[in-house]
Order: sequence, then structure tokens, then C-alpha cells
Amino acid sequence: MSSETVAVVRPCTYPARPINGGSLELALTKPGHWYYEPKYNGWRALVHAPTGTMFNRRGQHLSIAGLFGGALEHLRSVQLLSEGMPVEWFDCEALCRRHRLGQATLLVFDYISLSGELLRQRKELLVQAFPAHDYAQPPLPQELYSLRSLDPDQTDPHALYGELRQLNARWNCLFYEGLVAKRTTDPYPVQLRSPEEEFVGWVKHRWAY
Amino acid sequence: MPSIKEKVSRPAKSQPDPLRKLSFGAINRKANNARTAYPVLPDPNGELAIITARIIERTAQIEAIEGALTIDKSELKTLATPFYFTQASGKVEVANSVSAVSPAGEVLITFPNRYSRLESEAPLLPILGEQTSTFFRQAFALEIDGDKLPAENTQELLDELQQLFTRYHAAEALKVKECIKPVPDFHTTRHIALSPQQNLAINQVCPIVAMVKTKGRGKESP
Repeated sequence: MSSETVAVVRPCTYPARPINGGSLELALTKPGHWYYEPKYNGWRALVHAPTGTMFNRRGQHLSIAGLFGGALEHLRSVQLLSEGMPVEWFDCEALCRRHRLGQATLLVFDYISLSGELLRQRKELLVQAFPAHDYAQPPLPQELYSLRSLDPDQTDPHALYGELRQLNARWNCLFYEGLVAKRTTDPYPVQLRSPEEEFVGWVKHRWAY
Repeated sequence: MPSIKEKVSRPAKSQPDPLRKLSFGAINRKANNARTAYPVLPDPNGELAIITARIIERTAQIEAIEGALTIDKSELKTLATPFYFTQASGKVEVANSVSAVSPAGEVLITFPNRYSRLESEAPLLPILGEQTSTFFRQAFALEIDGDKLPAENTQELLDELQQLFTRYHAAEALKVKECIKPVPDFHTTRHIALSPQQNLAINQVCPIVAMVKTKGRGKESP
């Protein structure tokens, strides 16, 4: 065993928690500019890449972290620089147990940095660093993907919303839960006040009843 | 209130007595994962189905409207907060609300004496430096309310409490929840002692719980 002192890693923030926007069919217009992403049915995970430590949305150690060795190794091997500083914290969805697709795969949809980059900038950097998941294909197991955001100026979110439902039916499982809208002009909302605190810059639109 | 956790414990070797367990009598046991099957209301003419569908439909509509309203209110609070701190700066008597007007009527953005609690004072130090303890303090809660203890004896009382629990091999049973929160007169003194810029910076780490009120603030009748 190494004689080096091992620092205890504590989460740098609670993962951003979206507000509930109801179903997309009934959603009203949002002020500002928003990206849309598929909402995957997995476990929320805040990952400290250098140590491979995974925390759940309440800031507790994720009990299934041991299954993600391959994806974590890949995450550690990629050096992402934000304003010249290496990024250590990633906001991810961990796929495991809820369905059979993409077992032990990590989907990286954001990162946390102190320089306060806006979502638009963060997403650009992420898709350059990691291969983006093609939402129309089931993810491979034990992989690492980034999530490409869809700009409503180029893609109709309602069409995507419907398409994801069809994919669920084709794959015979609840792989997608809906869409998450994210305001492009917000920095990541770093906060250690409460895991229940919702962030109004992210809005989830799940399927109607 | 103590939390209840199930743990698998090893039986002690020199303990002949069977496991002593608490009896919960007639209290219902929560099912683990099964979805409960309830008796279904008879609906011979389909009336209940219509009402049920309507409730589901309207709940979905309310969710969508609530989501949109939350975004709009948040936007208004974000836009109003710098103005609130600027207009209140240097004043002893500060209006608790600012008003936003429209042809449809007026809404109030209210800034009550309510603040988010912080886990640590660290994010405040770059803003307030040595003044941090003037405006913020440590708060904690055991089974007792820490705010109501006499300040001059607090540490002594806590030390004795821990010793008492340790004496009975129950130190593990004592849990403390601590946080950093503003001093009682922070809500008023902040406008005199701190600049609007400092207040805005503090608001980033310890947001005031602002509220948007529309009740009774509609368009005035002619």
C-alpha cells in the first residue's frame, strides 16, 4: 500500500437539478436561447476524473461506481482544458440496470469549472473532447460519450421529442425519458447549499401521462 | 428524530439472548418495490373515466404553466435584484419590495428576511474578508435548537453533552447539522455597511429568498 496520503475527495457542487416543465407538447415559450438534449434514463453522476470518484445527485458516493471502470479510465485519459486549467469535474448520466442498453456507459453532458464558461462554450468543448452519442443508435456498453445539444434554430425539439418516443418503442424499453432544455447563456450553477435546489436554467420535459 | 437504517450485524459470540427487536405493533410496513394494486372504482357509465382523464389532462397543463411561470419569475428576480440593492444602499428603512408594472397590472418582487444557508463560509471570504463574522455566523442543530443556547456557555454545554453521550457509549447517536447563516440584523445592516456590488456578490453565494407576488396587484379599476 502506498505511503502517500490520499486526499478525501468531496463533491465541488450538487449536480444542477432541472425544474419541471411538464410535457413538451404543452410547454409555453421560454425567454432567451435554449438548447435541447435527450433525457436519458440512468443515474445522475458527478465524476471527479483524476480519482474516478463518482457522486450521486445528493453528493453521496455512487454505490454502482465500481461498474464504470472502463469509462472512468477513458475519462481520466482525456485532458480537457478550460481557460488553460485541466477540468476535473464532469456531470454525467451513468447507464446501469434501468434497462439493458449501454450498460456501464457514461454520458458526459457537462463539466464544472471555476472560470464560469457559458453552456454554449462548455458544450463546444465537450463534443471536441469526446465522441458524441448518436441518439438514434443504442450506446455501446462500457463506453464514454458526450451529449450533443440540439439548437432549435436547426432542429425542431418537438420532432426530436416524438422521435425519442419511437426509439423507446423500437428498443422496447424506457431508454429516453423526454428532453431537457438548457439555457445557452448560463454558467454551470455551482452550489453546495442543497441537493434539492432547482436550477431554472435547465427545464425537463418528460412524456405526458 | 433519529433516522432508521437497516444494517446487517454480526451476532456477538458471547450473547446467548436472541436478538432484541423493537415491536412496531400495528404500524403498516412499507412494501419494498411492488406497485400496490388497489380496488378499482366501478364505472358503469364511463363518467369516472371522463373525470379521471380531465384531471390528468389539466394536471399536465398546470405543470407546463408552472414551469413557464417559474422561468419568468426567476428572470424577473434576476433583473430586479441589482436594482433592489442599488436603491436600498445607504438606507436604514428599506422597502421590502420593488414593483414591476405592465399594461396588465403590477407585480411585486419581495425581498423578505430569508436567506439560503451555506455549508461553509469559504465562498464569503473573498467578498467580505475579515468582515465575514460581522455578517455571518455558524448555526447548528442537534436534538436541541442551537440558536437558543446561551452563547457564553455554548461550547461548555456541547462538550458536556458529548461527554455524557460517550459515557453511555452513545456518541454515535449524536448527530449535528451545521451551517453558516446571516446574523439576525444582516437584512437591514447590509444596505448601510456594504456596497451594492458587495451585496450582489454575496447574493451569488447566499441568495436572498425573493418572491414574486401578484395577488392584489392587478390592474387598477377605473
